[in-house]
Amino acid sequence: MLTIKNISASVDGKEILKGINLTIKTGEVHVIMGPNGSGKSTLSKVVAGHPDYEITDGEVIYDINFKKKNLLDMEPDIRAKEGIFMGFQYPVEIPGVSNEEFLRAAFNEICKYQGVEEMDPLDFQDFLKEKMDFLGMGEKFVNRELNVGFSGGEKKRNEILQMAVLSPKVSFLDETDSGLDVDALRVVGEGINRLKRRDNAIILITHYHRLLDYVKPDFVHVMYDGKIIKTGEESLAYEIEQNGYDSIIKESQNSN
Amino acid sequence: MKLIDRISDFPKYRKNESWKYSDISFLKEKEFQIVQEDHHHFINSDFKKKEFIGDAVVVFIDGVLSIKDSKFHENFTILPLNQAFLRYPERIESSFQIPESDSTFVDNLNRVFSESGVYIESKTSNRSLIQLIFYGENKKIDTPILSSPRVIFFGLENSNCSLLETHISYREDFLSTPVSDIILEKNSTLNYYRVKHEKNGTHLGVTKILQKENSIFNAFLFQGDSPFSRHELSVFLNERYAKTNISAIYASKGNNHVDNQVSVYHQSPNTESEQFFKGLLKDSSTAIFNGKVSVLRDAQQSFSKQLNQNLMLSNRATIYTKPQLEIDADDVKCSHGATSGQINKEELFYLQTRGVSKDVATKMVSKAFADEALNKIEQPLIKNYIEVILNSYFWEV
Repeated sequence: MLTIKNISASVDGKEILKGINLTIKTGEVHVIMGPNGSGKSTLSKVVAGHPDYEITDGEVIYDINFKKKNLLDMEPDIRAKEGIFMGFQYPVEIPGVSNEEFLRAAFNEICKYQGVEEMDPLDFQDFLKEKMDFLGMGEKFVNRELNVGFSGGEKKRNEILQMAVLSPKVSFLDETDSGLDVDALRVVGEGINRLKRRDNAIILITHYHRLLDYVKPDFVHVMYDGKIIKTGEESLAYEIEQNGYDSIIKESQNSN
Repeated sequence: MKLIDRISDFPKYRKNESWKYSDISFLKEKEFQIVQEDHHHFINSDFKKKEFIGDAVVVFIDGVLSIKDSKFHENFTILPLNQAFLRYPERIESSFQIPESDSTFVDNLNRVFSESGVYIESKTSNRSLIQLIFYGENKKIDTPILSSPRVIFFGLENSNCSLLETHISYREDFLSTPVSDIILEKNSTLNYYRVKHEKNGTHLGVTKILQKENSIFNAFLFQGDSPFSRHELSVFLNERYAKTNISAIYASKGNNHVDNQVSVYHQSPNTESEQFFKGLLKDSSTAIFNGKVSVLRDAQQSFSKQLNQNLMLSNRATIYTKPQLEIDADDVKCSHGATSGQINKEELFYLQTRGVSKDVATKMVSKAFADEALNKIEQPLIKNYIEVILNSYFWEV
């Protein structure tokens, strides 16, 4: 569904990604782990289309409805309309824009793009309420300004709520589990698990294994210095949490 | 008639502080015609339906009071200025006591050319709305029109009402120099709204307010939608406990020029003033905010706050902002500040990753910026009225 081919990217002339290859098929859950500064967040921003990153090499092919599309040619909002989602590590606060107004605008923009009829405000409220219930979000959420004054846990839940509303095909969730207490982690973890379907794919960027108690991964990748240096199964995540990255990094350096 | 033939001392562009960034020398050689009396044009009913939102409505057409088009209400005394001179000479006299502000050019221009004016007295404490419509028709007259209507408004003791000034014109070229003198007596309250959305022409407007003890003046000003537009607001907090609260939005696009001049004079102890001006600038437009707060030596324990924020939606737009404080008293609380900035890139990206296009995201964030000032308008009817004008002018292509 999404093929990342030999992507290199830099910001302000500094190379961050140095030839990433990753193939994601429908129904799969991938986990990307790696020490700080290895380029994990950059990878998700490059896929989402952040304007600060310059792509120096490679391509990202998105396979949707039997058509292959070059993702890098599209504006960020078009990528989103085509079904790409990015859950932010640090969701941005937008004063003066209400959460509900924003969610409805986003939802309707996507409907319009996909040629589906827009939802009227009342129907949308019901639709939203159902999604919020399963994320344990109170009604007061909708009238608040987007992410403004939200606690860390509320912001992350709000990211998952957006994912639930927009129903994307490929979701990169960048450290959605960080900064959460155990209860919030369970809500977010179960939320993600419920959004996992046969026809979509989820990529979790995380430092911890604990999220994987709720969402079972098919692959675990280790990123280091802008490259994927090892790919394995769920057990690899346990191994890293026990022993750290050192031995994996050494192993990859020896094999070069 | 050429202006330069009647007015010799035009303000000096770049040399005069208040006209430093507004060059009006292009008016000097222009031919103007003055409409001298009510020329029997009735405003059509569609316009009335859309624009008449006041309990009382006073209509000026091309600078001339049109009694026939106006609508009266028991809570207000409304008289043509020449009749008021005879009936309430001492009141009219006292309106001349409003001190001169820094820039008297427009005020003088209005005095020289004013053919028509209205006297309004608010007796009510039940918050009625009186509306003043300054209307310019799209009628074929070869020479541009000069209109200089004058308004004298008295808020009597303990009165409480709202005044909405709408400047709207369909003429291709004109100069309007409207002046409103407002006197607020003891314990009176006035909510003042000034909406200027003439599509063409040159607008040089003045509002002066003299506030007596414990009076409250709340203002919301909107300027937009014309090639050259300037408004001067001077507030004199003349007696104790007088309070003023001014919010404003100015929005410029294309090559338009919008100039905001504000002066607040704290002349007595325990007076309070707040200014909150927000600017939205697109394309190659220019805007000016020149805001002065002056606290005289006797005005101890006064409070003043001033903030000007500008959102630059184009890198070709220019803002000149100058918040100023002059304090001669030693026991006061005053703050002021100005900012100008572009839309936060990360905010745009965040919205875009949710499928919202850059244009819509820009609109969303800018509207939120404007809302902060619009939300200061307490009356939903007027808030909606101004919001519709701003949206249709600034956002529809």
